[in-house]
Amino acid sequence: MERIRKHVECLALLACLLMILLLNGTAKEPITSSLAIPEENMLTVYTSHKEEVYGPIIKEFEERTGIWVQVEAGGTNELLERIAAEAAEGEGTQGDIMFGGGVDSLSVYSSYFQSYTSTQVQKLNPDYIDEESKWTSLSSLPIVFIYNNKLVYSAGTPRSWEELLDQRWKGKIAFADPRKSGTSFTALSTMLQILGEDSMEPFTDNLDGHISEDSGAVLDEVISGTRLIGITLEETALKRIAAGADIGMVYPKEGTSAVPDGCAILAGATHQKNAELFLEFTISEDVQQYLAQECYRRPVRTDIQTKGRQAFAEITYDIDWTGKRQKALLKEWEACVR
Amino acid sequence: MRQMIKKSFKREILLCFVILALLPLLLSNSFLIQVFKTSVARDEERRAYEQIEKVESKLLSLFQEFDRISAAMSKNELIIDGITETDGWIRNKIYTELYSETSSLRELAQFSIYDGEGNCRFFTDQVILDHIPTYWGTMKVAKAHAGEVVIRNVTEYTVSNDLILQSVRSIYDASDECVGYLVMDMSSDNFERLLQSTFETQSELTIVDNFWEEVYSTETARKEGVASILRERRMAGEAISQQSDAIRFFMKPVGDTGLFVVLGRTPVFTDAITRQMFFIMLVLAGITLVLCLILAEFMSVNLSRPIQKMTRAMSEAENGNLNARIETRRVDEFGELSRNFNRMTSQLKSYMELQVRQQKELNDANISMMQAQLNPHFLYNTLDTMKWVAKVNHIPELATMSSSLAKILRTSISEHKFIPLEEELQLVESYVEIQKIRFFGNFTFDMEVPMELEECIVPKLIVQPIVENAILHGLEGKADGHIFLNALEKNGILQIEVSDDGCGMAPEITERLNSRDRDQLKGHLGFYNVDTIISLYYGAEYGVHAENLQTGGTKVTITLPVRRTNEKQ
Repeated sequence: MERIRKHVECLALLACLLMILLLNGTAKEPITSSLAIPEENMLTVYTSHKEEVYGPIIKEFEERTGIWVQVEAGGTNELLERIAAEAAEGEGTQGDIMFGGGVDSLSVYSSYFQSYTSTQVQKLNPDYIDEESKWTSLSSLPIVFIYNNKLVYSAGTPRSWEELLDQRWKGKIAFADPRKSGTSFTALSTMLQILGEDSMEPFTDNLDGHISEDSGAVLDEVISGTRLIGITLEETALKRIAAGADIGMVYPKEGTSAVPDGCAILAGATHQKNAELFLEFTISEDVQQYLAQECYRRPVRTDIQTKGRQAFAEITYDIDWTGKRQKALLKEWEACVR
Repeated sequence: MRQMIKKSFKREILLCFVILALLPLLLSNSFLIQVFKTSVARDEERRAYEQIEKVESKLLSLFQEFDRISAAMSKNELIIDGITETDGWIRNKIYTELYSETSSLRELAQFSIYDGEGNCRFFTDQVILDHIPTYWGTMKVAKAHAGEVVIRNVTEYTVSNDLILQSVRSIYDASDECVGYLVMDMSSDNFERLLQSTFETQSELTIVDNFWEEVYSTETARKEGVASILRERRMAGEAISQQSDAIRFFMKPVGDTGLFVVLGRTPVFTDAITRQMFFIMLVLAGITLVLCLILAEFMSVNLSRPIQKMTRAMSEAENGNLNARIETRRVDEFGELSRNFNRMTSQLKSYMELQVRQQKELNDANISMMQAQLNPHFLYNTLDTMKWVAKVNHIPELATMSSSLAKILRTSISEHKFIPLEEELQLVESYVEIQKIRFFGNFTFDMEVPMELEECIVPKLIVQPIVENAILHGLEGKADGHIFLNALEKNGILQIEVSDDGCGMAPEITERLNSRDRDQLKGHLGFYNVDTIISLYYGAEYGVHAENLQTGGTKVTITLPVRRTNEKQ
């Protein structure tokens, strides 16, 4: 009898505790099945583009394909290093595709990308095709000189790379730190390829200790008149001019590099099919046209009209040489500006 | 544990109290908190959805209105023909149309007409986007879906990074060529005005598109990046509201527009409040526990003190203190029990006292008898010598007296407490001899004892004091008195009667003699002693009884059970 009573007591207590526990745990609101996004409708894009570039393109991609895109934005080198780090950790990459970044930078990290040959490869400018198909170019970005229209007499603007070494421009050139700015490094490399490696020292002398914060600052300094001339991308210059900046643009007469930026599918991408779809989308007619018309870029497709865009002498930019010499060149730069 | 509780009455009571008081308190409180929490959450949900529905209906009615207006305008010949018009007068007429058609909505949105190339031609407020690509985005979809309004979220990057919700309807001319687009743009300001007073100001409202990208957010929601947080959660397959959030989100799609309204509300019943309520509950439980402790103490004292008192009193009584009493004023069962105990000990005490008194009385009688034996051998020898001296000197009275006294003495000093009646009677005879000489033969003495009674065993010296009384008191002042002694057996009771024919006794003296009271029998010690001896030996129903005879004189009757030699000792 005693034992039975004991059992009943225990049961009653247990029931009470259970009730409390049940009442305590507020029911978690599960995501309704209609709201759940299937894995095959997802894509993670690493992009070094500015939001105004990637935003509309990704939005359009989403609307057209119904694929939800997760954007991880950052600097080119930051993202490439992240890709390398993720690969090193061995847990596989979080991203699926790298959208943006000069192909020279992408080449350095080519081992983290998979080869993919676009179905539209025939339409592309053959100059901008990777032999290994590790990357696919998006747009070409010529390096140009800019000058302040008010402060520089148009006849006296620098016309060539060589002129930049002239004493006349000492302390008047806006140039971003190539250690921080990819554009700036490409510009430096272009100059060295044209003028020879011994031009590094006179050039840095001519900067007279002034190095701009980043590529955006180059434009600001020239527009505000702090510096008279600057070295930047055609795209950036055109955009600022369109926005009303009173600056002029010069294509160097020795020629200039037009290193394209590109797109590369990460090795081990989780959403392989969607990554391919996205890559194809970036070189589609619509996107190329959009880039040319709305973003002041030069398309890599040969079938897109670029009205009102000036022709220029393009040098063959040695990507391999740059890739191999990058560290040495930057070290030399560091020594010169110190 | 169980043993520990069972050992103490107080702990048992405490356990009972704790179970009775604490368990219901804790249970009902936590139940109440949960019920309260649930009902508050349900109420909040209801209120949130009410607000969301208000927002939804505002948005839907706006879109319906634009749908109606744009449908009418897209059929307007003037507009169809005049989109690319540069002539001021026609442009004026188109503007008049545009303004009059959109008058009901102009507070809530801006309206523009774009040409087939995507260039802005007419606008009500200001130019939002000067040029929109037609191969791209909204325009492309609108172009493909003629006769429908296409809603899409765009960002204006060139100047302000503002979010704009674009609603576009394509305009086709008679030759089925897309000649332009009717566009309704809604900025944050427009949303703010539209949704004014549809939701509580402390709520956070976010409108997202079909890919959960932000369309509009209230200021706080934008600062907290609610839209991007929710988008991340959706993509990660997580719940929209999470336990760790300070606010709770409620979501509903807006008709078939592809938009969603998300409302974030700070829950009234926050974790802090829950914690506080549980804290209060614990404090209450603590107070109850203290109360239980106090009550248990009180109850156990109330119950155990009388028990302890009783135990103490009992052990005292056990050790011989029959004065032990339990003092109590209680009227309950404990009081009853205590009073019963007191009654019991007092009865026990009086019984013990009676026993002690009886013992003491017996001892007194013995002592006086022993004192009477003082130095008897010396007296005896002296008396013997006196007898012989008297015989030699021929004084026969003295010889008789000495010889009789010696006989009396021999019997009285003998070790035996009981003697045959015969012997006792010889002693009486010797005594009478002496008294006869003392009183010059002034009385006569006879006795009549059946032979068979002579061997009865009686305590010694029980008859002599009575005869002595008869001689000294009964025959006082009377010459030629007669004393008669007879013995008889009646129903196993031996009666020895000593009667005289003297003056008798005053009735009060008779009464006193028969009272058996020692104090009243002062001066009649012989009588008292005999009565006491007999009653102590044989019981109170035996003893000595005195009465006056009708013929004058007194009769004293000694009653005692008949015992024969062979029966006793």
